[in-house]
Amino acid sequence: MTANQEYDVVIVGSGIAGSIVAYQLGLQGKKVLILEAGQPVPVDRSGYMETFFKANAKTPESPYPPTVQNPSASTPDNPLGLPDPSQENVPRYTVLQIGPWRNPKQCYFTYSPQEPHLTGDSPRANFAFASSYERIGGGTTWHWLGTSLRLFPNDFELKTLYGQGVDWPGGKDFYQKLVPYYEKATNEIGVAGDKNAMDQLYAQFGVSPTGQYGSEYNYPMPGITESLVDQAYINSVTSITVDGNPVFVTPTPQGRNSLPGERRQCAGNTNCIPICPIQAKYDATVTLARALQTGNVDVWYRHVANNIRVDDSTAEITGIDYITYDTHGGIPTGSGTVSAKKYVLAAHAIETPKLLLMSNKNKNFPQGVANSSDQVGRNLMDHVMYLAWGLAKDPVFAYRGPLSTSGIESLRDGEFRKERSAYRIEIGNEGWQWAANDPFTTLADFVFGQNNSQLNGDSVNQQGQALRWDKNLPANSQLFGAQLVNTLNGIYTRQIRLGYLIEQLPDPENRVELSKTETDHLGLPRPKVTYRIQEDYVRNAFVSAKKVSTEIFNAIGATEYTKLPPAPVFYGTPAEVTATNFQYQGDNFTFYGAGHIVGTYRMGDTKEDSVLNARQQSWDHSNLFMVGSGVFPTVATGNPTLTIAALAFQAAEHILEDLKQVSA
Amino acid sequence: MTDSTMANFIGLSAVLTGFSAKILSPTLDPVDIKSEYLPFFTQAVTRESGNPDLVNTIFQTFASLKAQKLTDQQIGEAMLADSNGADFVIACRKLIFMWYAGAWPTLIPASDTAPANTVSDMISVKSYTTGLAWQVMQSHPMGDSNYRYGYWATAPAPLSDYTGNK
Amino acid sequence: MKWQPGFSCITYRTLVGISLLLLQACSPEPHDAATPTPTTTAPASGSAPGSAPTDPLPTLSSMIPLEISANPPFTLESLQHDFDVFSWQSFIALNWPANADGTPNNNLVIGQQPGGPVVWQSWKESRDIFLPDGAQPPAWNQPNPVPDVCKHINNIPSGTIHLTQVGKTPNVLDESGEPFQTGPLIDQNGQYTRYEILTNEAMFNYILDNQLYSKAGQAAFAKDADFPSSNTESNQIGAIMLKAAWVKMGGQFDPSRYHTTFALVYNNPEEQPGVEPACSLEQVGLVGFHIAHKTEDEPQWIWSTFEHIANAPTKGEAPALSAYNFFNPACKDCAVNEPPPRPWNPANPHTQPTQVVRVIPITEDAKKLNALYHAALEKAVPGSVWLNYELVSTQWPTNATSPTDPTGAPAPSFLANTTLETYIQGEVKQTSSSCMACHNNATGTNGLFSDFTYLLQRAQ
Repeated sequence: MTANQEYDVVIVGSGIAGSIVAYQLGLQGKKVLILEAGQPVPVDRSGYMETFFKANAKTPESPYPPTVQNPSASTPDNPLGLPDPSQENVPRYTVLQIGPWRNPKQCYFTYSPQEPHLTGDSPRANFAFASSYERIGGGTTWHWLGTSLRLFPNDFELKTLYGQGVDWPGGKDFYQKLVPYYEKATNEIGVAGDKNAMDQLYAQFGVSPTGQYGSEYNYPMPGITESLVDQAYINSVTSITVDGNPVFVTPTPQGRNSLPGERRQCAGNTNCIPICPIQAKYDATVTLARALQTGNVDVWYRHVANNIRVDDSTAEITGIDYITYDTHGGIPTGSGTVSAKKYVLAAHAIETPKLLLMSNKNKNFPQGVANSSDQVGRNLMDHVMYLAWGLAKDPVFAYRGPLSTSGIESLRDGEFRKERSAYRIEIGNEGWQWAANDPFTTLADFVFGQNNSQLNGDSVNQQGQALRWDKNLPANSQLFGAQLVNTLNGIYTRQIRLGYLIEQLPDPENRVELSKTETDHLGLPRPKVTYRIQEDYVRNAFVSAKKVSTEIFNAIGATEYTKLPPAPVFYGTPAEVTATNFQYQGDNFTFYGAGHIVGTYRMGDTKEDSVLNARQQSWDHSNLFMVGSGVFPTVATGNPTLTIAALAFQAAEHILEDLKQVSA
Repeated sequence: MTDSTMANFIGLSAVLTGFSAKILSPTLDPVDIKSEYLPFFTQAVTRESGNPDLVNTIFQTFASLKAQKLTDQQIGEAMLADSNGADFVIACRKLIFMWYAGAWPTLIPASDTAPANTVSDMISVKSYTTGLAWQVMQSHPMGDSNYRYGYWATAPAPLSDYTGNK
Repeated sequence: MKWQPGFSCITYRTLVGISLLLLQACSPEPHDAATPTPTTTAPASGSAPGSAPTDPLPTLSSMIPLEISANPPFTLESLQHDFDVFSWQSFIALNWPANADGTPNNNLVIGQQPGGPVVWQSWKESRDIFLPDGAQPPAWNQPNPVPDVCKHINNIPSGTIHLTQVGKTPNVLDESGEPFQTGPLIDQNGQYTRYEILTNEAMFNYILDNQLYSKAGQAAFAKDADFPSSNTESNQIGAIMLKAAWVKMGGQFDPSRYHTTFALVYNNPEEQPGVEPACSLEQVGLVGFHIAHKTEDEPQWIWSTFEHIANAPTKGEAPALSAYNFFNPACKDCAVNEPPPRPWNPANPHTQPTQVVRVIPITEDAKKLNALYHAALEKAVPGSVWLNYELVSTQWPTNATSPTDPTGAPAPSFLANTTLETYIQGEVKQTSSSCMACHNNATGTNGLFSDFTYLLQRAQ
């Protein structure tokens, strides 16, 4: 690293958004510094893989530092051995913290207390946030799935068309301007996609009257082969319609190699999340390496940005302060300030608003940098997920191939969006791994005579069907030998799972603030999160998802095993309260996270109701840009990464434009 | 550990898991998970039961049943019979779980609010990737596939190829 | 080893249900009619350093073995030894002094005429097989074009035998990074290590005959590749693929301690953005050498790997040498097994050397075998340059016909050469270096299985 280097741009965060901006600027000869809070990109991912293999809970964060679980630190009230976030220099929220969300000794986030006297179906109920992220070189793409969908033009006009949420600045025009950047993003990620299948989808939704979806619209690699699980749905689901939309399966464009190239060809390790062992799946370390190869980009790891300095007269950013450390639990080893002409925040949608809010010592910005609108940290969103699972009538050989190779995209838009949220349906290839922690749950059931899978007892599904796998066996059977082999084989090979990515609406009350009581080991305040699903509009989509799942499973002859969640518990000890359960229309639901953390520094048309303008530039500070999913005004109906990447390419051009003006 | 101890361990494991001894312990075995499992099993069962003779009793019981030329089904039923005592039987059941999961289980009894369930500790990096659960589903450990691009579009080899029991 | 007393000819075919290895000892004839019987053998000697007095010295032969020789009872250890012997036999045959046409010169013995061409150096380099626009490569033994930027170089030193061969141009060394962008390896002179991949005639002909040298040819081929296997019954030699690592001589490196050649060292702009084309004729010394050989009973190929003895010390052991090719004993705070920071560019006049250690030690049995072969090499040519090379190990399939594991359950599970897989040494499945586990996933530009070689994806 070159301490005295003059930089054109300082970027906070080395994930996909920060890396793309750095790469694009570096290519143009601009001198760029990336401050990355976490550990360096390892030379060899063996260390991460070893941690993953050994982990008891193979959650999305399980391979990555700092370690999210430590069995030797297990205690009765902390069975997984979660680390104390106050003892970590770069703690992060993990899905293992969802359960103990009310215990700040185990959970990085703190939460607003529940209001009194809530009922199970109260819109005012607070929940645990259900999605996580990484603080390491390369960022959260280490554990992304790889889904590389564009959003639809209608996603950008939710308010205009359906009277819900907000439009993106410029509405459909924003989409049209983004198209060339979608193409760049598709190429940078190296998406494998089936153009014909996407054409069919785009035609359904009238994406372009000409049938052209961009001047260079295509995929750099052919689509990933669909799985046997996909085949079970493809021909059978077309008998269904949902709210007037046809149901059909679309192979998913994915950021993994269908052909050998700079990265290896996908070998179907069935492990895109948490970690692709062979880097067949794109992650931001690819772009970060390209950025560094330009010779114009430096990255400083273990540099935690903790304050942004603002000039009192011009409101320009003048520098970013950082703290350094060597080890995860060690003492701070130094601090400093870096300055440049332009600044880019790319620290994802929790840490970016946290940094802005922490930067509250500037005279004219006491609410935090870029926060004259008071919108920083607000409108936190995710795709809230409904999961449904079942057993196919014949073996479909789950647990093979990438985690998901197809989905149902045909329900992502329609007039129904006036009444309920839209969703896409992801078809899982991983059996009940996510849904029921299989293969371990079913295994334990048949070895020890338990019934947590509902396959080995008197369980009845929500449609009234008996669920015991083998009607000739008694409840709570304990098997061995050939009978165990045949039972487990019959079950595992038939397991199927659907995941609904439901569009959450922007709610200014869903927000990231600074905890007044809890800090990390560097003494920095931890995020305080408020998270609700207040709108019937969103909850209606859960009702729809539940109904559609049953219809799909019936159509393919499957038996549904989706478990009715327990009723929510809002009051009690941290061990007693539920985290993501709610009631609606007399039914119990639970939601899962999609990992799509969105909306906490949104773009907008006016400086009163948004943090950034359509150039992803701060309304308050003209030399400050922000990238990443935090800029999204709505979470929309596609997985966000391709849009994050496209927006980063677009932002890089805006920054280059402004740098030209500086030098002119 | 003697050769006969290992032979009994593998023989019993084959009967209880339903996998062939040739799969559990190939003649040429570069992975050699059995050499990790036998001492682990011995220590865990001894620790949990407080009975230093239990593992030996289990193996001797198996050896005598084996000597009677019983079928695998008969041997398995005899090994898991209640008359052997609770510690004996649960050790055999945990042996099954260990081979399948690569992890050592702890059984949580039912409570007022939750049914009986099982948690487990992964024994090692190697044990995860050698778990039989992945073989019984005719697949591979998640994160460790030896198959080639597109394999997921065709059916796997027959189950008997995975278990080694034709 | 039919010349070894007391070695009986046994074919074992059924070992826990696996079809396995044929004995070369059963081969009625040498495999290659052009290869005469070896002329030089070293008699048994009890004085070889490191070998037991009773171990007879192995024969040095220019014949490439077609299969291992093995004696029951077969154990992991006994077969590992047999495969390691196969590796040494292969290494010796491949490094045998060559005639002008690339055949072994049996008037010489390995180690004579140091710096002269050896058998494998007449083989086809990947850059001469996979030409721009998928052009058909020249036939075996026909000259290959050199990059434009190399064409001006005509001050080729006289007296270097290989350069006077008819139709033989100097090898072009253009690769300066390890696979999958793991990084370049920088020697103690601060220079980039260079790599080349070569095929034997059988492998090249399969590519040529099936037009696998081009994307279009592979698309038309439209099936899995299946290179010919060495076969002791038909006495045919199968596909052999080599990978060699070289460092520039001079500076800290004394050419007398390396197998050297003169090569056109080419900076290929297609390798990394920012690299400008440049070419120079350099004396280079061999530091790493992979041999992959497809045999009838090892469809996953047999993977042998050799290194220069001064490459790097072993992790956790005190450095035994005062100087290494890729390790500085004086540097206590050098990060170990880490590539230099980007940007990577082989034109850099000097780059911070890589501090390399071997992560998996060479086994005691392999060390003994190395000592035995070194004794034979010393006996044949005192001070032979080949005493500076050692076998690291051989990876082979323990269950080649497994219906559920296409990698054939390799032994050892992990194998790395410190010059070729510097940064992925270790013992973690999928990520640490395992020849067979990794090459099992190799495919061509058509996305179809390419039979354990990554070469086919280089087609244009």
